[in-house]
Amino acid sequence: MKKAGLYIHIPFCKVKCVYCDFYSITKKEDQIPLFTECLLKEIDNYKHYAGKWEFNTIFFGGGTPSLLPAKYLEKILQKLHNTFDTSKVKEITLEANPGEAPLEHLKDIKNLGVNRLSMGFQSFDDKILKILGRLHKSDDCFKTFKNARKAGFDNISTDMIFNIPKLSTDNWKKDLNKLLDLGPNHISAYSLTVEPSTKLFHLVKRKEVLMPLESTDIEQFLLTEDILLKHGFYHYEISNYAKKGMESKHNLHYWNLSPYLSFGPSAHSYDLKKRWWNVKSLEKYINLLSKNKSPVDNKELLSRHDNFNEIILNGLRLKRGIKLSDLNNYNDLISKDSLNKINNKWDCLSISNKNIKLIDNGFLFVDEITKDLFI
Amino acid sequence: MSDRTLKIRNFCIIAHIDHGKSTLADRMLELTDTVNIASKDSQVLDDMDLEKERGITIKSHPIQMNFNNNGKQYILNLIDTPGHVDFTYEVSRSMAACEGALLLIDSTQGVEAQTVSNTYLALDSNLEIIPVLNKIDMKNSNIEDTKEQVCELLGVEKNKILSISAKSGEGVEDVFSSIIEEIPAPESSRDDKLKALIFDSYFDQYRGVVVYVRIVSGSISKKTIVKFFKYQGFCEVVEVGILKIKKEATDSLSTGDVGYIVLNIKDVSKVKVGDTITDKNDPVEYPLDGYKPIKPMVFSGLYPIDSKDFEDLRLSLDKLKLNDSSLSYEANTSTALGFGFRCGFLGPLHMEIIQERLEREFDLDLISTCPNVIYKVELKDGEVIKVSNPSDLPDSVDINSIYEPFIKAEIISPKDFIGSVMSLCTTHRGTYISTHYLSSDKVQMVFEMPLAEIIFDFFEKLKSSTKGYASLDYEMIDDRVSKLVKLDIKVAGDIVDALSIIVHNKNSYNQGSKLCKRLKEEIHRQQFEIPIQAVIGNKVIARETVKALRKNVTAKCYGGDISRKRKLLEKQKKGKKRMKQIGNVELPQSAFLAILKSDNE
Repeated sequence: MKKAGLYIHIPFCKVKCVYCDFYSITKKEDQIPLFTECLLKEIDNYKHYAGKWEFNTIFFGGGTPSLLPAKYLEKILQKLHNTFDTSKVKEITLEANPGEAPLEHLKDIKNLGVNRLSMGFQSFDDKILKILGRLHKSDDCFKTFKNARKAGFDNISTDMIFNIPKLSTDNWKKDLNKLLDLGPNHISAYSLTVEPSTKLFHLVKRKEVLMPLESTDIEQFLLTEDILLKHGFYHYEISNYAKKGMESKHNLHYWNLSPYLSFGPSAHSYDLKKRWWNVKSLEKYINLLSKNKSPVDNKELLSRHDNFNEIILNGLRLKRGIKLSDLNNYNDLISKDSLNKINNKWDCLSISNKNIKLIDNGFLFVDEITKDLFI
Repeated sequence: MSDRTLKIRNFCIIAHIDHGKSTLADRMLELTDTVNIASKDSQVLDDMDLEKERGITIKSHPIQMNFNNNGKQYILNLIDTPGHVDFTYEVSRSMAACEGALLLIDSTQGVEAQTVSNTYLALDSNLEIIPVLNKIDMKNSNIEDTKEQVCELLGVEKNKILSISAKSGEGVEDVFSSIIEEIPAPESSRDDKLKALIFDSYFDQYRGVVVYVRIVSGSISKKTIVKFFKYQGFCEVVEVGILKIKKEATDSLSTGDVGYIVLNIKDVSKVKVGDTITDKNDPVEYPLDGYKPIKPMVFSGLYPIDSKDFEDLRLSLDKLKLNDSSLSYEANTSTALGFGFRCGFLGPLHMEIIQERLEREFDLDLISTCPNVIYKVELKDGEVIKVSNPSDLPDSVDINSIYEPFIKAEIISPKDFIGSVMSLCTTHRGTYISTHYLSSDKVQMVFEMPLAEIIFDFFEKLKSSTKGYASLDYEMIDDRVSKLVKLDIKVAGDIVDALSIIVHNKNSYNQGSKLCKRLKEEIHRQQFEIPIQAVIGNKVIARETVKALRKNVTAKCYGGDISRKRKLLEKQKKGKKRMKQIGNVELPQSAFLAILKSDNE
């Protein structure tokens, strides 16, 4: 049976970070009980998917899921267990912010079955954290990490960001070394991207913030890879590194184009043939579900052409590349000639009889090469 | 003369651009019930999408109205005309089918450059001119001053000038009475043998060639076998009719009528606008005076992005030519762009319009090269050649001298802007000739300058330096010797012939570095560094570098990002497909027009 994932979007945040373009909302924690009720209703709507796939991951993303009191988390998990066959679930991840998850809370959620934490550290430099609009200080990172270990989490991922204004490569190196001293099992290291409709976008546009030079971005990207590989991490996706066997099983569903069901405002679901997504507003989400209406905002049927391009887009992001076996059904869309041409154009592209993958520093050109391989 | 002919009035409306010509036409159509107000689209006669979007008339489109004057039914044929300087030729063609003209002047603007030039055209064609002031209901209208200017221009009495608001309809009734009283009925010749002037034509994909005619004498009906003069051949008339909002078939067209004829002919190139049609079985001996063949002034290369489209481009140009006889083209091969055409246009706006029509109406993806004028080159061996393509310019050691076309530019502007106009024209190599006051506030300035100087962005600059008030008209005067050089552009070490331009020696450094800077902005970064150099002969005069692409990575791509990222990259890929691959370098369409982009310096 096809393996699949379950995703829950918890939209609440204490503050909105300047770079964040995920849907979140501040000062609405009083809505948590109502939101939870609606979420349970929404999950109920999908019970007919129960026997369709083998659900093996659950992911609480946000927003700040660590803001959700344990009793609501319990209700949601209970609902998932009752609705779908979760006996094969191996990984239950919850995103937590440093300083916003005390030891007791961490113990509670561990007891509820959450077995993986993803912590948004971003940086160990208080000045940088301030630029990013984060609420925590670097001390909070160490404290929360240690508490998480104390609470029994043996699978902890940490998010870090480079290519931040005023972040020198030297300081980035120091950050990475401090992180390695803590010893997380998984690291996501993102190059700061200026997304439209974020506060950062406007700051950069008004020239109040100056983004680092491209050469700095590249330097820090390559340095990250260099240091983390030396410390036994595997660079399995452009922005993700894991110790052996500790890859995010849930996120791999996205890149492998496995199906996933998602709940909560703005959440996107995918069933191999189509993708659909919920309204991007807590208020609308609650209103619709309170009236027993569907919170789905829109859907998109995926053509063969779309599917092919998505296999390329996601496959190239992975170290292992695009599996040629995934392209078996699309042979009529691929021309040997154009594939050869692209192969000649890019030295960092390797095409074997098993896969098409990026080698050397090929990740740096992933979007360009993706475009070339698109049909 | 038949009673019917006595009740026909053929007239056109002439005006400077934006003076309300199409609005007046619309109002007249409503008042004569030719068009139903409720169902009307704004500006009925502008039937191309492009005309509606830009609010300008490009093609003349005749239309018939019936008007009841004191119990008598009159037939009024209105032949709409374009107002832009590039299309003077279209205006004079329409005039040949008329006996009178309404000279429409915006009373908020006063007399402008094309008001003057169109008036002279109408006088040359012996048309009866009825001056009409428009927009009299506007707050900023200046009726008295404008009347003064019109009197100065036409030498008429003030009380002969009509005042209307085409928008509200005020005064438009008077326009009808003037047309009937002032404009003569068509003259009838002594014999009644068929003689008709083709003043326009177009290709209808279902019916074939349709021509618009003015019947000068005799009559024509379905099944008449017609003879042309310019084209030695005959063909049968499939249908005749009059032009209302839509075509209406009639039994026949006779003396004085304006109408259309559908011809049983497939080869569009045989029908020439300005030719005379007669009856094969009872022909007249001599044709009517046709039009002087028009000489193109501005040239540019048109190349399909996909070389497979070359034949389509040829067919499309053939069809456009039927509708726009001022267009000229010949096949041309560019090392960089492959097979295409070197096209001649009446002026810069004409060029832009043709390119847009080709892309829209014929769905072609084109690259057009920087426009230039035609040069006369005197070689050392005494031979004189014409060069309309910069890459054809012979080596400088073989050239004795280069002549470029000069124009007399007449600029009408409020007197406050004399200084700005003067400095603009002199930086464009203009020589000041004279100033003439049209009224206490309005002046007409005359300059002589190279045509090449006004084909880029001169209009825009003139408008912006006079707050939009100045207008320009020009006519060719002669060819004069200039110190000109060919400026080549090397991209990644190779000359791209389609980017070569001819510039004046003293501007060459400036132009070269400007062009390199603009190209740098237009060319996307690729895997390798791309040097862009401007060279004259073997000498590099400017250089820029497009740095190599070093990183293009989407950092985050999770469940909610996939669709969006895919679509974004697909869109970028589509943009890449519209680029021209030259050697290893991908050049976007816009690169070839980089020099045209208005500068902010």
